[in-house]
Amino acid sequence: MLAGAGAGAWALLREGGPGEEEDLPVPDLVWEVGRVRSTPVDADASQGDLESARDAVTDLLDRLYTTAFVDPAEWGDGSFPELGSHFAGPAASRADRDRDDLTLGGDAARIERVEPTEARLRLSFLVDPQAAAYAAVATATFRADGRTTDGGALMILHRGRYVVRRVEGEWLIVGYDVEGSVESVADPGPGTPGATP
Amino acid sequence: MRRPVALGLALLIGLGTWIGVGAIAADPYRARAQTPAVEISRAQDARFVPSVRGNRPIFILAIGSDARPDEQVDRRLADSIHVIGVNPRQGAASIVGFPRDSYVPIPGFGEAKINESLYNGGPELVVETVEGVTGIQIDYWVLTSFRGMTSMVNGIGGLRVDVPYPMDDFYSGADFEAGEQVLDGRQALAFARNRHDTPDGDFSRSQNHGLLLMAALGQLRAEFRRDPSVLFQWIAVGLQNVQTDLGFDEVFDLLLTAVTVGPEQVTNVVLPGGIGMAGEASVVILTDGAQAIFDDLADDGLLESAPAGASDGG
Repeated sequence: MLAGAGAGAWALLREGGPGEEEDLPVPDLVWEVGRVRSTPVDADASQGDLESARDAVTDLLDRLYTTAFVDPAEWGDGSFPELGSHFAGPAASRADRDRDDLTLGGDAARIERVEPTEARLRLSFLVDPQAAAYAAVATATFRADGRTTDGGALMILHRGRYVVRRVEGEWLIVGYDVEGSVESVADPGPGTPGATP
Repeated sequence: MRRPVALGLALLIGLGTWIGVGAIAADPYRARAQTPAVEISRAQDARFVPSVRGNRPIFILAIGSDARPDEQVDRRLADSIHVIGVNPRQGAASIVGFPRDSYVPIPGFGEAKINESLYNGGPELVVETVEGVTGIQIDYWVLTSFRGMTSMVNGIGGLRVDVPYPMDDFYSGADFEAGEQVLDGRQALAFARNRHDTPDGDFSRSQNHGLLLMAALGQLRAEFRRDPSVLFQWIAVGLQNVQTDLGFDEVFDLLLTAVTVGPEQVTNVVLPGGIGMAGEASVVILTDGAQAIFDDLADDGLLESAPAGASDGG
């Protein structure tokens, strides 16, 4: 989902039917996308092609972070079954091994919700000899507040640099380098705005 | 409270500084964690992976033509011929240089200096010749010229090279102190052409071509760690200055694989040979050691008999 400035806002509300346990709302993930750069081998891509590629790559990263962090329904108790669908080639099998680095990992089972507070993206495209956007490096910064199942507060930071390219018509990740952390935040104490009793 | 998952990863030496220390230290959220009674605490990291599939090594023939501006690059003598073996699975590579005067069979042209194969039949005949001599199937060839090399080095902002010994050569223009320095395109070309002020003439020159390739690999890898998008600049500059039978996909995948190969995992050797005569011409007769190198290289693209990171002249 491509958007302008701003970070997560609660949006999608999935409600269960009568008698069913009501799901927590899933936060919407809104990316702030910086200026897009391009490096042409010969002629540069058209503005329209670059914009289209920007939207597609942003959507890919949006789906990746939704799977990996934002939507508990996609965590699969820590197995993140849809994670591999965002990758191609050797990076796909590697991503399976790096699941803990690319997602909330095993911590997911203890986390109730994740609310994004910042999602920024920088994009740089390689333009092929046919003047088409061919590949991109996407640098993502993701911050979120989290809540454990026992009410503890978390702060989540994840940064990734992803090499993506069009594979059989679909933009997918073919290389990555990521780092992040999930840390507990001490209770700020009574009287502090936003404190949890 | 952060626990690196794989602190020893080479890629994170630079990246960890940038992300793990710099970014976290500047993280405003840190200030909120006044008493970090950590229940869940974890650091995450991973690294780029080779983009080329499979266990089979890849063999690339790098050819340097002595064509001057306005001359046909693929119909001149080959000043530089290197077989580059890449083993994506092991993240390692080998560079094997041919002395340009190596006296070898050239298909359709009898025995001659190997550098004539480019003049007689273009890069395809060089490939055929090298395949005949080595028994190794070459997957791709890459051809450049004096001008192409100069432009490439300038296009990437210069090349940091560890010059192995002082050079002062009138003919090539090589004039360097020993040690690491950044060469511009003209200087890199002079370094590559020098065969008069070297310990072992053309053998040393071929060795130095390998050093340039290793320097380029090391620089690409280092710059990629800082900013992966430099890969695009290198691809663009490279394709603007070489001829090759590599497709664009293959160029992309190979360079993405190259950044996973550390220079310490590259062996640079020149084929051994002795000076002989063929008629009036002085030539290099490859010795038995050359066949041993080919046999060693063929199975996995690597030279087990030479330590990785080795730089061994003829």
